[in-house]
Amino acid sequence: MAKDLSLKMTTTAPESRERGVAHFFRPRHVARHRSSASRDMRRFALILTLPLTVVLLILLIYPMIYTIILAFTSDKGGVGLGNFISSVAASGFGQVVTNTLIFTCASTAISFLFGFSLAYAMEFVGFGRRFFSSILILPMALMPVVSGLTWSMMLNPALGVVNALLRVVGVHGPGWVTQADTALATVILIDAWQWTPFCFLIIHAGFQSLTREPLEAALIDGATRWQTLRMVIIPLLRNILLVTLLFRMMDAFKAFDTIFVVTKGGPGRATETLVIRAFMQAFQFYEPRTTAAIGVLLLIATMLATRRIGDLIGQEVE
Amino acid sequence: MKRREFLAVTAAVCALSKLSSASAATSDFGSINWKQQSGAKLNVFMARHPWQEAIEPEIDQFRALTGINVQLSELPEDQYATKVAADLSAGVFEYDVFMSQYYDAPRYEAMKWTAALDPLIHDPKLTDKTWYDWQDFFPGARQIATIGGKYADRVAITAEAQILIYRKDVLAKLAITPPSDFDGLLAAANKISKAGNISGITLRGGTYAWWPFYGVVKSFGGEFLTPELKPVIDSPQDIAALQMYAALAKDAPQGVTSYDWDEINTAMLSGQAAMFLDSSVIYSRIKDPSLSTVANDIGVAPFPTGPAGRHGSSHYWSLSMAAASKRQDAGWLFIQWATSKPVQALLQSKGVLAPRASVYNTSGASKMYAPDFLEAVKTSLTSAVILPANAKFFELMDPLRVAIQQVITGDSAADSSLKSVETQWQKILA
Amino acid sequence: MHSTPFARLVAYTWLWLCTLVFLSPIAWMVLQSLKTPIEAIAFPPRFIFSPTLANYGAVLSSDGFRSALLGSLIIGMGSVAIALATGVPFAYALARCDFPGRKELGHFILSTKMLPAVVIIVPFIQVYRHIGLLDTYVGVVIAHVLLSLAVVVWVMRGFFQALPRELEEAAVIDGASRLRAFGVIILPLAVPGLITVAALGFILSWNDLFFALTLTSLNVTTLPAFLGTQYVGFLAVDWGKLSAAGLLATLPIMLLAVGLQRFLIRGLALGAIK
Repeated sequence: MAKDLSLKMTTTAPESRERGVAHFFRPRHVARHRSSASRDMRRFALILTLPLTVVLLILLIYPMIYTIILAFTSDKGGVGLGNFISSVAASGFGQVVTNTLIFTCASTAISFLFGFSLAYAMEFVGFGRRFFSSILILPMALMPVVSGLTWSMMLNPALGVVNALLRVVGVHGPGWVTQADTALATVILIDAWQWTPFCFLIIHAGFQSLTREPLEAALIDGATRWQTLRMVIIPLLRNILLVTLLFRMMDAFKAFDTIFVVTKGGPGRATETLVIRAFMQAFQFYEPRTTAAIGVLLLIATMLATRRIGDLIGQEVE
Repeated sequence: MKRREFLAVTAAVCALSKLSSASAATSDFGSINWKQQSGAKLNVFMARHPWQEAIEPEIDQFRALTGINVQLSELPEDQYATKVAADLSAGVFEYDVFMSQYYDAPRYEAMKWTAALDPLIHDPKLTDKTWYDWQDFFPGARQIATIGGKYADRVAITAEAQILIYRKDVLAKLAITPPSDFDGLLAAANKISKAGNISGITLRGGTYAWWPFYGVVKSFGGEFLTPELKPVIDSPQDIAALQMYAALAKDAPQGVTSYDWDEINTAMLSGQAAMFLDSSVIYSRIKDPSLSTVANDIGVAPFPTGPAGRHGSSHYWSLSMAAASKRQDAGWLFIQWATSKPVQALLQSKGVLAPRASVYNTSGASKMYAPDFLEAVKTSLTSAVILPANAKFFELMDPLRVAIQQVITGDSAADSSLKSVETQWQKILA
Repeated sequence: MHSTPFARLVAYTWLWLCTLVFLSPIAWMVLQSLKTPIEAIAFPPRFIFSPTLANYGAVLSSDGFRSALLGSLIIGMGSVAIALATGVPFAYALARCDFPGRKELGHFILSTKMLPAVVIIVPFIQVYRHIGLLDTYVGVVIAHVLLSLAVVVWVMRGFFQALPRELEEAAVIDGASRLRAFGVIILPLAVPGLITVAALGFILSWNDLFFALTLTSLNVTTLPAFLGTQYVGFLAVDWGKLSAAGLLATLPIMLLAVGLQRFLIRGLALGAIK
């Protein structure tokens, strides 16, 4: 039996999946052992998923309903979009939205690209693999409070070590987070620095689970490394890559700890994102309805942004 | 955590001191029966602050005096503020007594989150009014505690004055006399910065810049809001004040817009700036040679005078009691004890300024301060101003912060940015 | 991976370059952790100074650090265990079984990661208070499970999808139950994924500040809350001790990472059995 299994394992994934799909998901009107097989499947699936779903619902249903109600009602008891309108009309809202979009896209892209390139580079490395994969986790292993404070101290234009080193080389360092036009970029870099290990870890694991055969087949067929990457590796890792991208983006949308510790949204509104604004509304101004409205906006934006990717990932089994 | 440590260490000390000062204690503390709540448990929540650091070791005295079991929790200010806000909003606030900022008073009162202290103060069983002496508190301290002339929900525990701290050696080297008005201050800062090695002054440009800014505004004759809560932030005097503030900021170390309390402290303690126009709380740290490189070169002057006089900003932290507390009598005993004359004199001798006038005359309490510091604080506090609280306080301060930062970085002019703040304030207060 | 010496050189260079950049703040923290308070804020910043271990001594001997460390460890391991125990089967169901609502369930799990905690924390606290989970270890564990659940489910789903169906089908045909097929055949092959999500889940829990802050008051302390409390005082950040404590706090994670590496490599070997 072991030998049979291994033979099957050498085939490439999409091919076998196709066969598997055909084998088990006959169209409904072709009834063979359909009813008992798929009922079994369903029962199996329910056992695996129901308990967790129930618990989640219990925990989350009240906060979600509460938030939605808060967002759509006003102090005087009316129902409507008043909170949303006042949030959007509040000063600086346009800039806050722009900041959020730029931050999300840039931080996601940077950390994803770096994470991928590092995971890919690891594949060429034999000796020292463990060393690198342990070291490269460090930015994420540090607590955001600590790394945020350390970065802001290092990047202090006058007192910090970064500008001090630049001064040695004769370069006058920029204001980093204290200058309105460089603040957002700096915060993006810090966040990307912190989350690259996240992308790296997942993609690295993905690489680890690749079987050798497709790669060696490509090599035998004379593919260049670039071609191998594009046409064999990336398609095989497609789901993993999409999932990484998805989560990175969702986290970047609501990134809070780092920005708060480093700039609190300043200078001016240069680094104020939607989440920072929600925080201020909730814990400084005590405006729960505005907070809820911003939260709902964030939720909708995130859902829209990630819908496509979510569908792409789910597609495989469809 | 910390309480376990000092509980163990001071247990023996406590026993000893109880024996020797048993009789002295009762006479020191007025005529009420301090042991009336003996055995109760009290949850006290504090933000990390010099006051908290000074009073923590003294809480054993309270435990001995009352038999109340005090459990202390603490967090740094940012997280403290978040936790208090979150817990109060969710209705799960677990603490009985907590440190509060007066800007929250209107909101807390409106939401009935804090207990009214008035009935407790007038209860002769709980308070010895003559001994407690409410009039002893500075006018500003009384102002933040009362709403409508009656005690509201808090008592002041610290006093902070906005004063000018400077490097005697730097000013002497450049033959500058300590400035007494704003023009002199600006000229001095310019001269020092031009000489090259050190920044002329360090100022706040961050989230709480409104505090020192208010002192400048009032000294220039301006105001933020009328008593009827009408914004007047775009008056010519306010604009002049902002221009002065931004001009001073040009002589501050690079990155001033992210400078808040921690950064301006570091700037002075590490010798990065020569002058400091902010809260007196820095004093005990800057004179501590294990923390400060400039401990011996410090001079202190009162807040400079502006065209409308000397009106530095002032601030008082306070203690409040949670409305949901089931141990309000015990809580009030704690607040009364912590804000009483003997305890505040004790704290003053440890370097935390008290909001009570009599403490400044007690020889022991003021011994650790250099005369120029006490003089500066007293002078500044007599005519000091405090920014009145209102229900939309932080919402109003936010656009002001943005404006201050934008003018400092040169991204916009003082008059247009303050006009924009005026419009935003009108919308918020409408 | 087929590698020429040139490719290896490029790879090593890139890895070392990134390592340097990644490590620079850590290197700075190491320096800071060995300095006295005055030297830590020295201007201009000093690289040469007389090092002291006083900060490490102070941090390690402080009661609070040890109990916060223990608290974080318990919560971290607890939340990873639960997240894996519930999330992995869930992911398997999503990957393999076609049942009504599959897509919606997947999106529901995903949406748990979409609302920022900042927004829903107040009603969430109220729910906890109602169930009696406030200020308990279990409460924080559950909140942390929420943090990592979506990652566990979707990443493992990806891993499961990459494995050919034949594996289980063959086992089922041979008489094994679905559950056995899952446990004996699929899980071992998905080990790289399991290791990764376990590590990620642990790190996410270890570093969480917001839930630890808002869901606990007196009885539970975690490291992030403790680090903030002790060394970020009112007058200044105690850079020396903060850096020392921050570095000490990463040790468990580093140990975890190094320890788990073995399994990652083994997983690879399993996947390539001939």
